[in-house]
This record gives sequence, C-alpha cells and structure tokens, in this order.
Amino acid sequence: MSNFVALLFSGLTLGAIYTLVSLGIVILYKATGIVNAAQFGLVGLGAYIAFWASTDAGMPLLVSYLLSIVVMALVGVGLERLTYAPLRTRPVDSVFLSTLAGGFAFVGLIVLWYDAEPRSLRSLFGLDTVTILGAPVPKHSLFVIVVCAIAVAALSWAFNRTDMGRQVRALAFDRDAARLQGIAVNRLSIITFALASAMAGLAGILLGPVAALTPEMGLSPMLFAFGAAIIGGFGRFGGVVAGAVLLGLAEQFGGGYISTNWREIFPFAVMLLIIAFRPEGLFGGEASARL
Amino acid sequence: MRRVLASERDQSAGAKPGHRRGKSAGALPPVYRRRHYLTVVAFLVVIALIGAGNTENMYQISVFNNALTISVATVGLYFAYQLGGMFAFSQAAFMGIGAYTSAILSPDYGFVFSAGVALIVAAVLSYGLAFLLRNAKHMYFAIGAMAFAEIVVLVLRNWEVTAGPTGGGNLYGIAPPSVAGYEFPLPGDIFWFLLAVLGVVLLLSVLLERSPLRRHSLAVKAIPQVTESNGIDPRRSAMTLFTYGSTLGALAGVLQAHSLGTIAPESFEVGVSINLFLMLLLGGAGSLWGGVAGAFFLTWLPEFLRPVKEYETVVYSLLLLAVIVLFPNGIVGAISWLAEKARGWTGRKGKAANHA
Repeated sequence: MSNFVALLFSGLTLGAIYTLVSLGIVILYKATGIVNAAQFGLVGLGAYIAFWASTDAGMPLLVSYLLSIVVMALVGVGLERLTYAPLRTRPVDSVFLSTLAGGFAFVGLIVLWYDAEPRSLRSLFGLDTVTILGAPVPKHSLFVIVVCAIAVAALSWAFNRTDMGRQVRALAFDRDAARLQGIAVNRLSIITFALASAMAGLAGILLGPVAALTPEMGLSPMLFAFGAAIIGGFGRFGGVVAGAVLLGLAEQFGGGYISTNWREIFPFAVMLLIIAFRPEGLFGGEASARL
Repeated sequence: MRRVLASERDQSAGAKPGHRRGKSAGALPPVYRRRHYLTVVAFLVVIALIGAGNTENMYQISVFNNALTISVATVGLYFAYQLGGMFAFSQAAFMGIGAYTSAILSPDYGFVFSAGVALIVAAVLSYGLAFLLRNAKHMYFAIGAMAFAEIVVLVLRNWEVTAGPTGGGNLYGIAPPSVAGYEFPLPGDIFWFLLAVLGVVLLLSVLLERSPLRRHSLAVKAIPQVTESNGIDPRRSAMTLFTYGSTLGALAGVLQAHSLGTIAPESFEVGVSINLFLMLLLGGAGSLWGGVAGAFFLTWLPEFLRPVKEYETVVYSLLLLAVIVLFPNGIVGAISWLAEKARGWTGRKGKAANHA
C-alpha cells in the first residue's frame, strides 16, 4: 500500500509537470495553429535561470523562481519574433522545424552558459516529507501538484472568462472568420508565446528538484506533453490534464511494478498506441483534421 | 469553410510568388533529367579523387567515411520526408536498428548476411510503424515517430541482447566490412567500400526518382483529392517511400557500425534524427542531392568550428533556423538559383549580341 501511494504521488507530480508543458503547447496551438517544438529548450532554460539566480546570484529561492518565470516570458516573445513571425504564411511543418531549431539553440546556450554536467536545483521544501497512508511523500510533490492545479484553474478562468480568452477561442474555432472580425492576431501570438514559455519555465523549475538539471532535460517531458495534448485532442483542458496524468502514472507504475529500467517505455508505448488507434484523442478533439 | 481556407494557405505557401522562394522546400522538386546519372558519376569521381589523396591520413579519411555514411541516411530521409511527406524523426532509430542487428549477427554469420538481415528487419519494422501510424498526419506522425525512436533507444540501452544491463548498450570490436572474402580493414580501404555503397544507393535512388512512385507522391502532394480519385492510394506511396527511406537509414547504421567498430545507443537518439533533418534542409530538401550536400557540409563544419567546439549546438541550430527562414532551398537550391541566374545572364548577353 505504501509503495502504491508513493508511486501514485510521484506519478501525479510528473503528470502535473507534463500538464504545464502540454497546456502551453495547446494554448499556443489554439491561438496560432502551430505546434511549438521549442518547449523542451524552454523547460531547460527556465530551470537553469532559477539555478543561476539561486546559487551564483545568491537570491532567495522564491525570488529566483519568480525571476526565472518573468525572464522566460520575455524569452517567449523573442522566440515568437525569431521562429514564428517570419514564417507566418508558411506551412505548419516549417514552423514545427523552426521552433525545434529554436529549442536546440536554447540547449546550446545552456551548454555555453554552464556545461553539460548534471546539476540539481533546490526545492522550496528541501527534502522534507510528509507521511500519507504510511508512505513518505516529499513536500515538493504536493507543492508541484498544488501549483499546477492553481495554474490550470487560472488558465481556464482566463481562457473562458476574459476577453483575450474569448479571442483565442474564436481563433481556435475559426481562424479566418476570427481574423476577419479584426482580432489582433499578432498581439495574441506574442502574448501566448510568452505565456507558453513562462509555463514551460515553471515546469522546468518544478522538474529541477525531481530530476537532474541537464541542457536536454526537457526533451522527454516535451514528448510526453505532445502525447498528453494528443490524448486530450488538442481540445479541452480537462482532457489534456487527464492525458498528462495518465502518462505520468504509466511511467511511475510501470517503473514501480514492472521494471525500473524500462520505466520510460510505458508512457511512450501508450502514446504510440493512442496516435495509432485514437488519433482524435480519448476525449473527442478537434485538431486531428488540421494537423 | 475554415478548412478550405486553411488548406489553401498551406498549399499556396510553398509556391509564394517572389524570388527564389518560388521553388521553396514546400514546392515540388525539379523534373527528372537524364543528367542525374551523369551527376552521380561526376560526384563519385570527384569524391574518389579528393579521397584518394587522403587515404593515408587516418583522421581525414575517417571524416570522409563519416560523411559518406551519413549521406546514405540523409538520402533516405529525402525519400521519407520530402517525397513521402513523413516526418521521419525515427531515422536515427532505424540507423540504430541496422547497426545493432548487423553488429550482433556478424561474428557468427559474416558481414554480408548480417547486413542483409539488418536491412530486412529495418524494412519490416519501418513498414510496421508506417502501417501503425497510417492515419496519423504530419505532426501526429512526427510525434509518433519520436515516441518510437525513444522506445528503440530505451530497448538498446536495457536489453540483454544489446549488452544493455552489462555495458549500457555499448558494443565494441565490430569487425570491419568484408565482401566475398575481400576485407576492408583500414579506414582507407573502408572509404572505397563506402563510396561504392553510396554509388549504388544513389543509382537506385535515381531509378526511384524516375519511377511512377515519385510521380504519384508528387501528385499526392499537389492535388490529393484528384490523385485519389484517379486510383492512386496516397497512403501506399507514402508508406513505400518511408520504408525505403528507413531501410537506407538502417544501411547507414550498418555502415557506421562496421566502419567505426563501436556503437552506443547515444548515437541513435532523437537529437541525431533532428541533426539529419538539419543536414537535409541545409543541403536543400527539394532534391536528392540536398541530403548529400548537407551531410558533407555538416560533417566538415565541426572541423572548422573545432577551436570553438562548445558553440557547436548554437551554431547548428541558428544555422538551421536561418536556412528555414531565409533559404528554404538550402545549398543545392542556392547553387541552382545561381546557375539559373548565370544562364539568364549569358542568355541576355546572347540576345543583346543578336540585336547588335
């Protein structure tokens, strides 16, 4: 039982982190119609900025987290200008490759800045644990889950209740009609790029204490985030969250009960099967026709 | 209504009016000309002449060998991605499948047989993958192929057969290639073997370029509905091309394993596939030669970048970004653009002479 609870919480933690990356991808897809493959570089960069601020710059941990998120939002604006704005009229494929290149540029920058050696980011709660049903659960896990829940709630409020959210929904529903109605597509794409990259940065910060910091640390979270977005049909947030949690749990339970070495195979296999047999997602989606 | 407009955007985007973007990466490759055979021969002769002077220099020739090997993989990628329209982020994984299959079998069965088995295994697996993902379009296929590639690398790293638990999947001491009793022990010898293999691959590929398969796939790209109503199954040509391309990837893996003598799972990760894409796009995805040009260019670039080795990833990715944004036709596109300019210039001169 205690093993089960421990695995459950670590699965939920990973699921929460994948959710953040994945919602960034989905929001960006809704606002611009492209799939952003730079997320993995952004995850890493967010974690490294927080690492730099908290160790080399000697700032308090919370301040360095916030600093990293703000800087990441600005990085997102730069990314939009560099990889998306010049390719606005090109096919989705080109933008996918250009954002992928952008992501690798971030990886390269991290290698230049530090090096490829693994590092570790401190958590706000250190290594403290609480005991739930006999299992020691790190406080950091609970923190990740709470932060992610708040982020999802805030995001879905913004998406469903604000003007900007309505504009993004209009763009996702019918791009051409929305543009004819005079929605400021440029401004929205900058804002959503900033938002998506801030979320990726936050995911990196939360992932830092769980996994080691390496320049390419964001690659498998991004792939799982793609998987979660597909499971959710690039549609409702609930589906995306469920997809991310499903993949996180598949990783942890597969690793815990079947084999630790083969841990990451399980979510990838789930992804592959879902793309093969339910490309529209498990919850009914809208994107498979367009992507 | 939305979908019609969106698809219009996608198709018109490649053939946007304007300067050299007119024949951008999204547009169709040039029509086949007989010159292709001559180009293959000329290419082989040039590489042979340059390489022959370097066979004594172990380091130089190993760079050559690397470029020749990678060319096979990027030519495969050209067929899978450019003609087949499949985002083959699994290319490096198929290289790995080829490399490991051949490396594991060759001590018992010899080079030719194990290489053959490796190609068959890769062909079956790639067809299986294409079949599994037959309903997945563009991004979905890309993500599915990435998931497949991650699975392959995890298997290589953890399976007993690939020395996963004991050696982390690293294999050493793989015998150099030998065909019909003739061995190629030194890098200088392997160079000639690789050149011959690349020559065969290029000739096969030129034949494929002349075949109905290419015409079908171009038609599928340009006018999918019409093509389908004319009885051409768009999926089938894409799946065939993906299988051919991935099998070439496996061949590159076989060549790499036997020319280097050692392989590790890291050389077949998704990042390597992205590098192969970089080579193809840099060389120019619109032509078979783009892959070769990109492979040679990017294998030599690190030699020039050696003093600033840590900048490699940044330079690569910014280069890729610049190519996608500024030169959708890559090196080959730029060369043929220059050639056309030159021809137009001489043509104008001729006309001017006529006038006078």
